[in-house]
Amino acid sequence: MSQSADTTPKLDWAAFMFRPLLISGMTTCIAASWVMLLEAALGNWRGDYIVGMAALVTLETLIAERQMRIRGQFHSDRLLVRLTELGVMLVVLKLASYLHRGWQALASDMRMLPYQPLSFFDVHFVLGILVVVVLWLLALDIAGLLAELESPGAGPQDRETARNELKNCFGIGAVMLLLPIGLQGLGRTWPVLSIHIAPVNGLTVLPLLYFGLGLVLFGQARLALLQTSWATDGIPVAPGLARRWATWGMMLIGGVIVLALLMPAGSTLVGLYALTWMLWLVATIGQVITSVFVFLLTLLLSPCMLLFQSQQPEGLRPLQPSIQPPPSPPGEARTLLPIQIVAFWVAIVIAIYLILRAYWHNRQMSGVWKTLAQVLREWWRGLLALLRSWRGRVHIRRGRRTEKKPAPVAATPSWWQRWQARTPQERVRRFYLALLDLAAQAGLARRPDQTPYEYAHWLKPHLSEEEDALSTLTQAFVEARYSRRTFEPKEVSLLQRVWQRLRSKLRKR
Amino acid sequence: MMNLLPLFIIILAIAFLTSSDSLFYLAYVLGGIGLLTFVWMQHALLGVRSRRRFSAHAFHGEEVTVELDVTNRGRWPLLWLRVHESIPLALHVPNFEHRIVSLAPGEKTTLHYQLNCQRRGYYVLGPLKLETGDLLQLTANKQAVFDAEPFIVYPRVVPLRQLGLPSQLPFGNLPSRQRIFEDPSRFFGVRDYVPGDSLRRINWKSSARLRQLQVKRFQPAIALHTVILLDLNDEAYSLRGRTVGGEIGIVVAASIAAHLIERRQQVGLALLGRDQVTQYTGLQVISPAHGREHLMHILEALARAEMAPTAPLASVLPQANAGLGWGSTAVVISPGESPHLVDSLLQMRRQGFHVMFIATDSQTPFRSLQAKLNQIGIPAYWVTNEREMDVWR
Repeated sequence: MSQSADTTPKLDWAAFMFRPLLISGMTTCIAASWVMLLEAALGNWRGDYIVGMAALVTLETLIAERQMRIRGQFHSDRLLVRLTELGVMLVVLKLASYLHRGWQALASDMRMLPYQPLSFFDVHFVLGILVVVVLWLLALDIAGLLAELESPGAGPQDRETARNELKNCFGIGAVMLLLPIGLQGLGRTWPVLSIHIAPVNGLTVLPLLYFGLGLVLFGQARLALLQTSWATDGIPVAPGLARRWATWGMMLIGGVIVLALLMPAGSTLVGLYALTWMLWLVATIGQVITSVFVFLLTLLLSPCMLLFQSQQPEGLRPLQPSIQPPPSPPGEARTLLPIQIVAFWVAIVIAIYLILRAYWHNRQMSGVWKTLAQVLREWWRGLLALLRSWRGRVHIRRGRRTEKKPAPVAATPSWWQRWQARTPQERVRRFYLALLDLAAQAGLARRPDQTPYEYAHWLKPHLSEEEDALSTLTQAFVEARYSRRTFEPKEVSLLQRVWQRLRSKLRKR
Repeated sequence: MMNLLPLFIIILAIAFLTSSDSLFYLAYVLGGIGLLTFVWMQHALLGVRSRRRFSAHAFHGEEVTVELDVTNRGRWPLLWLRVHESIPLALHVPNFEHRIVSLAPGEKTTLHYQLNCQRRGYYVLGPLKLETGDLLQLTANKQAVFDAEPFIVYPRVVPLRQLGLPSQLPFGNLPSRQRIFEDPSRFFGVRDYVPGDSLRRINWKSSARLRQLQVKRFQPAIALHTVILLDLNDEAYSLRGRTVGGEIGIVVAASIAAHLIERRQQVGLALLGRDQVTQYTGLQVISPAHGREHLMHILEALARAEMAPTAPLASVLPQANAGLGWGSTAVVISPGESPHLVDSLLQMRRQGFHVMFIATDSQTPFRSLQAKLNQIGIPAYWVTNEREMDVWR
């Protein structure tokens, strides 16, 4: 007897109840959101008992499912259990609906029931049934998936499938939760980009709680998958890992939720005020340090000061703080609002960009994401090119206006540029400037510190067989630019042919 | 892999559009968890340290316990950590040890495993591979590899009688109690450097002139050394006797060295084979010396030795004997007869060495060889006691 008692593994209630409690908490959140909506819509109706019922029903469903699986009860047994469960649930729900109405109402309804059977299904009861039964069905689904995840006979593929289906259930639950919350939010209108610390109430806490519990549950699903893989590989697992997993997972998610609740909602302009205050604090500390330094210096130099006292009627005055603390946040700094809004949006865009970059770093994209990334990349390049060309045009026009210098001739000059280059000297100069332009496009740009001859010497190796042409054009440019030499039309034609040869050479690169 | 980013972006976008507080908080939570997990995983394995506690050398037949400490010195906990230690199959079955643990910051876990040292050799323990991941599989698993550490199992040392050798062999100087040693004041030439020669004996001027390391030679004074010449040239062994013969040769060499060191004699080793660590193939020489430390040195060299195709023993015998003085004893351990072997041994005999020959290949025609060697005054023994080698079969 004692031997068998020793060898029987003790049931770890914490581990046994952990996952059902998590799911129960999630369904409770959903029930609470619907109850809040219904209470707001119906006025004097109170449905908090439905929340409790939802929690109990989920818990009971999950535990019953697990026990049935352990005992190998399937098909008809399970159906019987479920029907019993439903019947008991309806009876308890009906009784619970009298918690707020009082037992006199129950007695009265009981007396009326034989005469009006349909009065059994009053509004309170029907609403309760709707909420609880829907959650019961969801819990049944989750219970099956959870049992699949925990089943020792399930393979890795089965568990992966179960986890994915669990995600779907989580998504359905999230929609069921957010729908009533969104409907309640329709009544209120916050100004766009308002800054406020939201009141901590059911509307804010329920989604957080639901998602928090859901994430802890997914952590548990991951643990189940890993445990399968470890068991397949025959790797011994240190005792207490599951407990630590649960504790650390809850600490991580709970900690993030608490931090999130400390952050402002709507937008984060409060953060900007905090930044201003920090700057003020830094400036004040700097000022104090400077004052101390000046004071010490004054002490050191005071003997010298005495010598010049007659010439210096006023002594050193202590420095007055010049930086005042910034005004208190909202209400007093209305003029800053547009800047702050812009700053906020810029910060948000940068944050999203950084997150996306971190996410896709070293990651192979595929399918829609790859296409999307390519499209975005193309848009970005197009935008950059547009900005650069616009900047170039503005630069050229500004240069013309201020310095009255001729703009560098493009590879294919416009009629206006051709008209402008009507003198032979100007045409020669433009040939050379166009050469510079083309060379720059070919990646052989002239450095600002290079003289024409230096540049020609540097460029020659890149223009094989056209070294003489390059020397001729460079020499002609120097003469046209820096001497009073006049060029004959024949010479210009010759230089044009030289330029054309160089152009074709550069274009081939 | 679970992907929070699309959900985060969608919820954030809806939060901005609707100014919904709850959605903002939700976005904060998702973003915070994603960011925290990312940072966590980036730093997860940075603070992990490992240390193996074990004796780096073991004698044949010993059981060595290895304690592998894995410590998390980082600030982040390790939710799960897969520890995988590779171990040589000759020491441990299976050839790995693994475990899943979780480590809080500052926490240490210790893995224990036994090494069954039934086969001499040079081994490496490790590498140690660590793998960890996050709570929700938001990021790829992180891995780290820690260096392997060497572990040497010395060859088996058995009493000479157990090998079929007489315990009162005329080794070295036992009968006369006189030793021949080289007198550094009686310089009489140089020779090529061979691995094992003391750096103090290098003649730098001659080395510079000849562009090859040269070692001073001195005239022998009165002293006797013993050098064990072990032939692990696998081409000299027969196909059937190769594996066992080589191992027997190593055991015989180790046993003779231990026997002589116990009698406070100076023993040297000239090993023709390959060093597992340096991968040097050829003649490796350990100069004669005495003491237990020197014995460990010889045993370590024997532990690391392995068979390899090399030059024939007869061609390297002059090199092997280069540092020995007149009257020293040379114990030649070889698979058996090979071309020019008898001539070379005779040459050694004529140079004034006491030569003893031990054959280890069970397939060699030992009797004819023994007859030839006995004729020139060299005692020959045949050690093929495979029963002693049963343990690694």
